[in-house]
Amino acid sequence: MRPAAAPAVRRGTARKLGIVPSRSGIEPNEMRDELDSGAAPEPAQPERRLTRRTLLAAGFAGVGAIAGASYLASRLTGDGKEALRPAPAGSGGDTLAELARNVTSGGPPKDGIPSIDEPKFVAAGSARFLADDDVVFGLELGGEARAYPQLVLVWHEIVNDKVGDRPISVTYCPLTGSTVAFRGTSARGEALTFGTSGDLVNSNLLMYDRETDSRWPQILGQAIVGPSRGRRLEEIPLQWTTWRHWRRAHPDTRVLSTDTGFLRNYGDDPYGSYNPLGGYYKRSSSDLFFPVLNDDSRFPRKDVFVGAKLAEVRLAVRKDVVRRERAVMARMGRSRVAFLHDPDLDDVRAYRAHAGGRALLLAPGSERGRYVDEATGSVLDARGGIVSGPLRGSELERVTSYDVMWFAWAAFFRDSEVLG
Amino acid sequence: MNGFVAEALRVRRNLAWSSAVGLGYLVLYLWAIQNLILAFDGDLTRFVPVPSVQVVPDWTDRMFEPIAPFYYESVIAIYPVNHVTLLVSPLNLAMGLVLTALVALNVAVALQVARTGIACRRSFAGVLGALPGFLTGFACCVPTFALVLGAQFTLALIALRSWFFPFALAAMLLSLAWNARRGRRLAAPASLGLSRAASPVP
Repeated sequence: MRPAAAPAVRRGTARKLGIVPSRSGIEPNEMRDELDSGAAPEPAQPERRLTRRTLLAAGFAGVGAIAGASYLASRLTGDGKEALRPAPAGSGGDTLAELARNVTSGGPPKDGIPSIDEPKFVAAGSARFLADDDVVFGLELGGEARAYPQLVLVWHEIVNDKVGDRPISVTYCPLTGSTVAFRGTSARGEALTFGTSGDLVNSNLLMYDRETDSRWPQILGQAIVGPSRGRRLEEIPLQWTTWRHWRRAHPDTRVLSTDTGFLRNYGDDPYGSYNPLGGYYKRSSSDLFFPVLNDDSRFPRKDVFVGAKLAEVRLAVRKDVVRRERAVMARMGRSRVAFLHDPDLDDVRAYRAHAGGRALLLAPGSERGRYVDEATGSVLDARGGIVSGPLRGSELERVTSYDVMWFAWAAFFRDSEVLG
Repeated sequence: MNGFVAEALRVRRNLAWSSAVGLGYLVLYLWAIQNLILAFDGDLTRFVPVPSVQVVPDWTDRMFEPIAPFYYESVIAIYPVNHVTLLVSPLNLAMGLVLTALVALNVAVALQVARTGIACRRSFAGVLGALPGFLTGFACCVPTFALVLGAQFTLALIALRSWFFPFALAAMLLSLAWNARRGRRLAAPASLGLSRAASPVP
């Protein structure tokens, strides 16, 4: 069902697009020795034949034993396939069932890509392993700023962290270029922590939770298989930015250390590079390693969009459009939503453009990083705080949004509205 | 078979060649599975002191954790010089050494067969059986070689991944057995003929 969203784009190009979706047994040396010495050949040595056969048999037994041991090892460590039988239908609709049917193996077993469960952080000044233009995923929560370097997360994909006493899982899928933090509980109220299942759906990270062993595609944020099927996670936006930008904006930030407890080649991204942009991540690269349910060709597959979720409405805005226009207004269901470019981070944040009981219509202000409501003249900063004018002191409600490659968003959300 | 293999290994030239090829194979194997990392476009000193060695604290458990089929976690990292990292996974190394030994034995036996003057290049074909061993490496979600060969090979590589190491092992063992047996059969009449000609006529 298509949402009734009608994007009202204030500036620049904006389109509303529906997504459709032997001989004797005598050894030659022995024979040569016998002939040289003039002695007649002795009868064959049955013990030697036995030895050869034994060796051959031992070789094959070795192959079998190693293969068997490996199989047993993988079963003992658990690859989680049993849990991938779809739960009975009825609790989540056809989409969840369709996704569950299209889970593909990414290659590694469950937890083959190890999550970081005891993250260590260093101060900004000690994070010498980061170059200025390296990508970091920034978390601003509970008065704290934390940076999760992409060069670490590409090898782990999930960090099970805590802010205050509350668990939070920071996730990153390199294949879909999406990063989002989650909080969630099981039906029994247990806080969820996550690991990698080793599987993918729509080329996207398929997480499993360690409390109920349900499967959660990262982009969907909802369980598709297992006891938690149909449950949704609370999504907490992360900022996709560079170390230079984040460090300037948050000098007191803490940074996820490369001391993860695992040995990985953290300076090397197996898929490509964001600094400079190359390999799998290039906009011009159309390579997908895994199948997707909906391959939408309206935009290059690797184009970066900002995907927003508000209730049941999904909207994707091309990130370059927001960069260019600085402020893009849209409608998601009954809400007016503003996508604002934050020049300090060179990133985009989405807000419900409502304050003081009225809907706002925001346009870029004359000052850098300032936006003006055309009706009241109130001025906002890029973090959604109204800093002057009649609505001063109000703060806009953040809408969950994150960077994602076009092909992945389109594969999950065929009914999404699109501004490109 | 074992007699012919032992004979092949007693020849110094065979031993030298098989050792060299075996060593080369081991280096290639470790590189292919990304346990030997040569990253000349990166700066290792950003991350670790060079030279240095790191050992994971829980190495006794960690070494058995699989990253992919026949591919296990590393527990020691050796950074000898900038741009070069050697990750030591005891199980990966053990499997690499088994394949290396088989490659070396195959080469020695093939050379010995060739020395008889009756053999042909096919004697060396068995060494090709070691190639699938290169494909066991995984990087994150994607087989290492899919990143080199292209996206279209990913699913095939993943589907076959469990068979690469057993196939390489079986192919090398069969090749070794076949070559050793063939070498013994071919060498015997030749040595018989030579010996008879040299023997006094009764």
